[in-house]
Amino acid sequence: MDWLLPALPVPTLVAFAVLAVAPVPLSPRTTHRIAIAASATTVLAVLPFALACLLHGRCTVGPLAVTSTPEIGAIDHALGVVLDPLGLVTAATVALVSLMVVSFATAFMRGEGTADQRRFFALMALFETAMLTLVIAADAVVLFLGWELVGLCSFFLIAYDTRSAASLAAGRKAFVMTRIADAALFAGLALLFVDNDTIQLAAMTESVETSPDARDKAALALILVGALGKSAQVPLQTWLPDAMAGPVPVSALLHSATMVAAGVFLLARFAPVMEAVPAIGYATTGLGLATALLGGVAALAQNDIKRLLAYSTVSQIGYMVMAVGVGAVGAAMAHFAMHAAFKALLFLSAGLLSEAAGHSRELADLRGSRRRAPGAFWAFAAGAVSLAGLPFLSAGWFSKEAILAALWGAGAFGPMLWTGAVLGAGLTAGYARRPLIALARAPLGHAGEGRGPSASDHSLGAEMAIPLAVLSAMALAGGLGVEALARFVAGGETGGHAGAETLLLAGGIAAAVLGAALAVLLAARARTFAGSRAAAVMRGGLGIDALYRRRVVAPASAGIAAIADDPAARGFVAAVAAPVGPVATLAANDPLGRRLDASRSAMSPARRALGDRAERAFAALARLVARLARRSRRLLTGRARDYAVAAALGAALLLGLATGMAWN
Amino acid sequence: MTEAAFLGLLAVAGGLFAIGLAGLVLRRTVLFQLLALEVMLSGPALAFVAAGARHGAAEGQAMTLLVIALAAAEVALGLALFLRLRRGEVGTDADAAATLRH
Repeated sequence: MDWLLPALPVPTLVAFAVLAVAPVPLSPRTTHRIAIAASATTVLAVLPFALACLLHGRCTVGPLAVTSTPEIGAIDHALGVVLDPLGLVTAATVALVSLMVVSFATAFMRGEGTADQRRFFALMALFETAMLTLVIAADAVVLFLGWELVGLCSFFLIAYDTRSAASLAAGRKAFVMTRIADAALFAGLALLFVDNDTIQLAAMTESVETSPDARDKAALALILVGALGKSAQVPLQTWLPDAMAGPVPVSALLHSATMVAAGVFLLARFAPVMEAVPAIGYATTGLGLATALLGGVAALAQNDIKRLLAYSTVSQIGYMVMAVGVGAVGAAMAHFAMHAAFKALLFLSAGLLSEAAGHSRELADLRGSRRRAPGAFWAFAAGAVSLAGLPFLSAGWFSKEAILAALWGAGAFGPMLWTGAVLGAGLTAGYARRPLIALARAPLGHAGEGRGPSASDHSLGAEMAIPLAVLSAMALAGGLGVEALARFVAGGETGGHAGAETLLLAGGIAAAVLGAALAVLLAARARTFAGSRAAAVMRGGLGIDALYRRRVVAPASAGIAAIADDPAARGFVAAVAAPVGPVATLAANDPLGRRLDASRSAMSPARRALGDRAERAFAALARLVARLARRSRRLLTGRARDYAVAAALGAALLLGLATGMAWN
Repeated sequence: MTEAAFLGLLAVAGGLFAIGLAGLVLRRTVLFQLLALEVMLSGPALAFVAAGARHGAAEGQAMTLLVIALAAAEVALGLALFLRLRRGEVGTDADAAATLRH
């Protein structure tokens, strides 16, 4: 069965290859079938590993080397894959959530153009491939490969709508912000490689664990920066709220199982060293807490439902990072799995709700959704309840409690961290309750008009209903598995927190109840609150984005503008850019997609695949031969004198050559 | 034979060859081209004789005899072609006789 492990990312990779480059036209229906088949195959491929673990207790596969390794000195450079409990839980979550999202997307993206849909599903498949590669990587090279592919795919998918300047800007922002982090990660991994002469992650962490020196600490700090950037944590969180410019299924995947989870996964991979190097653990925990609170505060004031969900992702990932920081990898990954389920559910149902409300994402316009789109409303409610952590009835409650308990037991600062996290949980309950209140209310006088009953006719097909139902079930009942999941990932250890159970329980319940009450209060005073200055600051993510814009982006732009005004620089840029233009034009014209979209005449398969290009190419070849023949015939004048000249010149040439060669 | 004499003979031979080549390329009358060919052939023949004398070898003179025989055969063929051309429509202009057929 081990051979199956390196093949885990292959089905979606094949789907990507077929959808992206196969020079045959595919109908949207075929495109959908390929995408769903690839994702379903991946789920089936994860299944044997899960079964082997459950039935035979064989939970770690590998590490398997996938390259043959000629020795280069003492350096261990074998590329390999491994599947341990951490990887198994992550891979299973990724595969399952991806399948749900892709299935949903086949129905949701139906209105798009044929070529656009192909591009979309190709990138979604590559996205899943990249994340699975990252998850099963046993060495730094494969890990970084997957890491970069995840970033690249999210860039393309966020900027999917190439006609919208906002989505292009959002894609660029996400790309640049995560690039900063990726550079740090690369430097960190390179530093560890240089110190340890190995690219194996296990060997690296083991070496750092046994004898951490100053260079190892620097490397870990760099890796932490990399993880924070990918997971949209303070201080690199500003790209994620903008990333909601992408289509709904992209947000659902990016916020739950793939992109932002990569940072948490990376930290979990390096979790053993958190104890060996306490400073890194403290920094991780502190930044995680700061992010959880900042995300919660910012989410509380959002009026755009997708933006609200985006900030909630920021804050929920903060909880996971915090948990990894105090060594509770099990709790972190349990929360990751639960969060992936309910956050995908929230984004997908929010997409349906806003579609039903005439493509508006404003909470005010979404009022009355309960009547307009009841199915999507109840799915959203299930997700929101889980996000809010409704005591005992939702998955989010159990996983969040596991994290809170781990924080309480984390040394001297434990109770302090716990207090901060409970505060964050209260905020979570508040911002999760707020959209629910709005959705359940009757529409405002003007908001419902003009939308017509056509929107309410929206009925869910099986492609959408099944994912929503499955994810809803996970969001509500998944809590039963949280403890087992946490123990499984942590390797049998329970989060030891003796005593104080009652206090922890009471704190969690109080947070949930008070948070919900806060939302009711805000809803009652909606008019004064929404207009207040505080709300504006909160809505802007506490001004951090604006600060970056003023302090970093604006000076950099000004500097570039100054350089661009310099004539010499302009000439240089023009010279460098000259060859780019035609290539860019070619790419923008999308010749492949255009050809695929072109009409398909009922001809032979070869004719259908190539059009009349083959015939034209053949005719062009014949014309070329004829032209060359006409040219060469001019040499043959038939005049003896010309031939004499040619013969003389040839003889002279040979003589010259002979002389030259005899010279030395 | 001195080195200088040898080089002088080679220069004369080269000159004969060059004059012959020039005549062949520049004249359009077939008869004059045949004459020029003879002049061209005399250049290498002279060089063969000179080289044979320089190295005291008999092969030089043998080669010269061969060249003279070759030239005689070539003149016979050439004159036959000349007569044939003169009787045809093309006349003795070599450039006009570019197609090798009537």
